[in-house]
Amino acid sequence: MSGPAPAAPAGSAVPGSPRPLTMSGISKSFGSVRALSDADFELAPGEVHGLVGGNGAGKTTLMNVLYGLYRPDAGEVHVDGREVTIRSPRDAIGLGIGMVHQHLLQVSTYSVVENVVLGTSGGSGGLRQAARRITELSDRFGLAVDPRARTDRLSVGARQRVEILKVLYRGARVLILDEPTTNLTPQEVDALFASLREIVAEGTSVVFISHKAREVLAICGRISVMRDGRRIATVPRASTDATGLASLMVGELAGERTSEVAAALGVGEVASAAAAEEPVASTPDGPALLSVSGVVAHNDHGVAALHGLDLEVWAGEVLGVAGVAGNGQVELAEVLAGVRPVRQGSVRVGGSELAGAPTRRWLSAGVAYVPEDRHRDGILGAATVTDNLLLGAQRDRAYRRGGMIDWRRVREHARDTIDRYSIKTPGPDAPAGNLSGGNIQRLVLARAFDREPSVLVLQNPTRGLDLRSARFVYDRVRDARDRGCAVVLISEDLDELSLLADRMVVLYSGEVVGERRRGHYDAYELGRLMAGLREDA
Amino acid sequence: MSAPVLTEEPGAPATASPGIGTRLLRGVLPYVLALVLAFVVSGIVIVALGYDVVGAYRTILTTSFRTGFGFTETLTKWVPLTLLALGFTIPLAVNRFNIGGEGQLLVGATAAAGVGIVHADLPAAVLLPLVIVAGVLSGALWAGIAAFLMGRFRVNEILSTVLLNFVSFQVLDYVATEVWSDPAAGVAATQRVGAGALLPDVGGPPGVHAGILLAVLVTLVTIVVTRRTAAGFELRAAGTNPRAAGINGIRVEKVAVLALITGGALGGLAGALEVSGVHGRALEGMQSNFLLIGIIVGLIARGSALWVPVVAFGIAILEVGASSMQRTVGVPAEMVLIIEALILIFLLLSDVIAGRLARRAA
Repeated sequence: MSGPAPAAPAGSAVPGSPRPLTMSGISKSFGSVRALSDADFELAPGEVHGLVGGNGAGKTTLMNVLYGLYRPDAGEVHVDGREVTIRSPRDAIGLGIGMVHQHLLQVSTYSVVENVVLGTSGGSGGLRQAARRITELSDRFGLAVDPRARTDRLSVGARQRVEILKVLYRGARVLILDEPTTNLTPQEVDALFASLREIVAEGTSVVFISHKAREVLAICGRISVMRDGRRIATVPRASTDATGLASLMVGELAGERTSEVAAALGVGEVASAAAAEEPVASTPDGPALLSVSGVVAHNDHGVAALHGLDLEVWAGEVLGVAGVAGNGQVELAEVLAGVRPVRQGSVRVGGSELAGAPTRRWLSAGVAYVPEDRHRDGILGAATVTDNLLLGAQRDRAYRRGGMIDWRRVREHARDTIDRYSIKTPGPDAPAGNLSGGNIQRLVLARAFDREPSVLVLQNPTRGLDLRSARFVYDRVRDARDRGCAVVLISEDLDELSLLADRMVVLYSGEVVGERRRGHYDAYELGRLMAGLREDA
Repeated sequence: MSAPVLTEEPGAPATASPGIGTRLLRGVLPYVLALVLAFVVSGIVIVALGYDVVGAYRTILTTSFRTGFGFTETLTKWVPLTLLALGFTIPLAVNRFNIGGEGQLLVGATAAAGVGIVHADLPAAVLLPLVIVAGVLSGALWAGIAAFLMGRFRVNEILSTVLLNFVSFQVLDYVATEVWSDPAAGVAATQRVGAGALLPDVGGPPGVHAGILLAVLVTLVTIVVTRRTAAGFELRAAGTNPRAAGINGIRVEKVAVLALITGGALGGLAGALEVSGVHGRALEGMQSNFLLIGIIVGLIARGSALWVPVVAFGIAILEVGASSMQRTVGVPAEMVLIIEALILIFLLLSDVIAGRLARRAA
């Protein structure tokens, strides 16, 4: 992996002028959990300021406080030297602060212009005037987008550009980007960085939230590191490097496998490091355990999202599926989990046809699914941890007695599972929705492995997890493979795929457009495939 | 917007669990507050209307306990209230709203009466079960129409169940005026069912019709099924998070269809028991306002099968007290409906306030 070009860090503090933004003594608790304790933050005019830290370090919470989404329990915010109280995003926008969230909040049936002016007073001249301003802004900052396009027709990268334009359109002088590179190809990341350099050159300041040290080092002038709800250091780009940053973020790196730390923090040569650590898997022989052929499936709007997809996965193999979000990943994952109807084609597990069978049959055929959206698809948030561990097995003979559920047995099993998977919960009867993301993922994995699956399907299994939980997931994936499971790992994180996959296919527009074996992973080459440039092009 | 990631470490305990006393207080307090506030506000209305509020309330609260007849009447009302409330809360557990209780009751009553009239000569040991089964099945069938439309064509079940209520009025009207009409009754009513279709009284005198035993049994079965069986677990799971339930092999739509049909069966049972235990026939207006009050009961009980019978009992006391209050103090009986509605409104309000307080305390 060659990494983005090491251009000069964009923007440097202009001395003398008042700070566009200072935050001090910010504390915020959710229940008994302190998300921020006495955190501070300071932004110079015209800089890209990196805000890094593991998950749960408080980066997003701090910026949500700034954007008026949370009221802090204590602390002060100064904008241009004036103390301000920000009660809502409207207040924040009024003060020239704009934020682009990780999950883009747009009205998908509106055009780009309509989304941009949404919530503004509209101004004089109407949509045509607005469209002209948008074109002007997008030319100026290299944020290519057609103002008249419908938002749901745009790629994730383009939709993100719309959000940035929206913030600039409202005259923001502070632009907050929350994990902006998550769904972008390496090429799109480079383009985003070029635009950010243009934006700060005109005096706007950018807060760049990320847990990827490599990206932060490529674009930021200064970098603040958060841990346990407070800022623990701010370092100029020139005086740090990936290892230094990683150790600030994690605390200490002793005893961690370096390639895993590298994957979780995005600090460099993951593919080669991983390849060096593990031998290339031998070519499997015999029939594939999971074979998918000619599968056509629709998305939620009834439009074909998979167009005759073929895949084969052998026992004891991890197949990585790379691609930019929205190219059929969700549909593929749900087809493989037996949740989404297969319109055409066949899905066989161990020779028996499952296409068209109800989900329960897929489960009993040994398919286990770890969905991308843990809260929405993985758990019953309001139900207890015990209920959640039982979910799917409620009709198993092991848990039945006299036609009823043997709750004593179920509880015993739940307590045991909580122990074995180190699920941190106040108790087996606590609502699962109150657990942290990492613990919810442990719960989902525990349930999946309880079924002793022969096919394991995971989508973005470490998204939003801290390093320790991500490692836990990696270990479980390897366990599954070693036990002879056919693993399908669908991920938008090339580092993660490089680390785990024995073989990688790239999904573009509902089709497999390329395949690479371990040892032949090249981020830029994969990036071209992910962007839809065919191998022969 | 993404939910905040609250913890760095895999889960510090989310919340310290409070002592059992605090928890009990927190659970009961909203109810007490809602009751007190509802009575205070209604009291103001009664005074404003120029009636004796103390007398009115004394009548409402004591009628059920002063006389055997009052108590019998309360238990008699408890039966359809509980059944319709359960018929509402069971589908509610999968987020479906069965607003068709009165239609299901009327159709159940019509079928029960029909069987009771046609086979009037059969002995009770045969006829009574037949009458009740007829009521249950036709209630289930009636809700089944809405359930089929919902499961097959995604027709909103609120609309279909409500509209089927209107159809049921016509069904009863037709049967009571054209098929087995009793012209001497003064209202649209069927002939009386055979003696073998009537439920004996238990307890007393004055006794309560034996249908109450059936209602108690049904309530117990509902509690056990929803809490202890795989079917009940699937019902709760499908209601808590349909997506996660579906991914884990539960056929949410099928669960919802069955829940709605079960709700209808309970409505039909209520109708059959009204015929066999109370009226001895099916007649226009027999649905009273059981549906509306049943929904209020189900909501005050927050959908819990365990609390529905308790709340239904309290509401039955108010209902029986209401007619007595109208006779003795002159306050319109509808005042009680206002009290019931206010209890529910204040209860919902106290939820909102408690939520705010908890957030502020946190």
